[in-house]
Amino acid sequence: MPHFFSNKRLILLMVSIILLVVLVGLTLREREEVTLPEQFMNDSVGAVQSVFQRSAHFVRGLYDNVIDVINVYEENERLKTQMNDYALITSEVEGLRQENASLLEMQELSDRLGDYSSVSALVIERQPDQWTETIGINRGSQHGIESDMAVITVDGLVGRIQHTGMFTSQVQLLSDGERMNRISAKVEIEDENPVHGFIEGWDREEGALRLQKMEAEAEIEEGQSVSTSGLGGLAFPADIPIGEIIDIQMDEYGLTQTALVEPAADYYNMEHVMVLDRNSSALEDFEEEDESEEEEAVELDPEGGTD
Amino acid sequence: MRYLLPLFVAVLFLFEGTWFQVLFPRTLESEFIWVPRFTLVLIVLISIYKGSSTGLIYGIIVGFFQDVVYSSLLGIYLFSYGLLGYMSGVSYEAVKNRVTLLFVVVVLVVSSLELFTYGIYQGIGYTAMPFADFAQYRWLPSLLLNGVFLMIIVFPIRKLIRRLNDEERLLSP
Repeated sequence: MPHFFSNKRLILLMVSIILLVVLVGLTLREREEVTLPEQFMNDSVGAVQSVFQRSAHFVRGLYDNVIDVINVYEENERLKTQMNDYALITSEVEGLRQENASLLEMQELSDRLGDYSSVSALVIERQPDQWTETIGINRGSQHGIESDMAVITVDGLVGRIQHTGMFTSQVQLLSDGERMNRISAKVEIEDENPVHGFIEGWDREEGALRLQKMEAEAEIEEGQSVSTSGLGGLAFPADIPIGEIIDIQMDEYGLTQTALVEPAADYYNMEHVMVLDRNSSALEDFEEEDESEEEEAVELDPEGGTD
Repeated sequence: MRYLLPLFVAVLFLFEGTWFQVLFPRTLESEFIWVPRFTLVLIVLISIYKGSSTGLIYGIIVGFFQDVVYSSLLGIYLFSYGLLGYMSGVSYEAVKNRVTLLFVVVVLVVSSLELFTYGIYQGIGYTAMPFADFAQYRWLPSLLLNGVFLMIIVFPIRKLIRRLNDEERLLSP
């Protein structure tokens, strides 16, 4: 039997266990900013990662193209039916937008919760161990990104910026299990005030987010859509879609309701994301400087926030 | 030739977070979680064929990168990769020649890592996964995945490391 540890090594092991506990304890709490050496490591690894990721997406693109060709007939049929509604909806949106603009002018409101500017980013990595749900993107503080900004895909909200490096940042997805991972959300109800609650945690069995702390009297139903409220400490714009309610439960004391929300965005299959900042000047500055470069940082006009 | 192993380790490390995640993404429907520990498997091989102190150094460096790059929680992989990299090198001499024994060592190492991370993340309240679920949906699939990976790389890597060792012996008087 080979001996695993001599006395000296046993002491070394003890010391490293203590070191482990100290390190985990120190870095466990929410860190707004990671230390400079960490930022440097993240940035330099991130540069190589984006090369890897681009090639991976290229390969995946080839595969997806084959699938697309197979499904092209069905998809065409479906799109044709959708196109019929398109003209109607466009004219309606145009009308609403004008109406909204004139109403705002009458009210002399300039800042709304729904206003934001955005910058697009490539997803360069994903935490492989899947205990924490985080991804890395190739935009950092040099591009005007700060922690707690909202991150979306075209389908809806995916998470928030956890911490930034100079040229990369890490995004905490909504499905991450950290206790402080909490986002203020609302359920739109027709002809009534929206119901507010918090997106807190992930239900692994259902594959859905938990929308908690809604009033017990609120009349919510399955199929209603959930979006960000723009309230709360995070710099999230309002009316970013999060998902759709699939199940409702009363809590054990009957004081609040919890709804299961099927996310609108696909958290496992992202190539590009957009980072949003509410009423930011930093991102706008970046856009002006960066116009000549390849990345198009578009200023999005939100389609008529209602509150 | 000397830089071939570190290069392999670096490529595998990046592979876990980029290629693997894009080409074999998790879906909402499937509950199974396949965790790639390819870098650790390679470190185990290095530790067995090149000695436990080499394994320790590789383990510490890769673990540190894993901690910093993929999360902001430091220490977990630094500790576990270092310890497992060291431990896998202090096994019987017979492991070097028998693939079945090697397989057993890798199964033990990957299992202890999964259990260790499960314990830590459970302890700090990141996950509330019951143990039965953990074993069924995470532990077993991960063992399977990394076992298959070991089968793919074990022969080429063994050949490569033996050639590197021979070269070193020739160069040093």
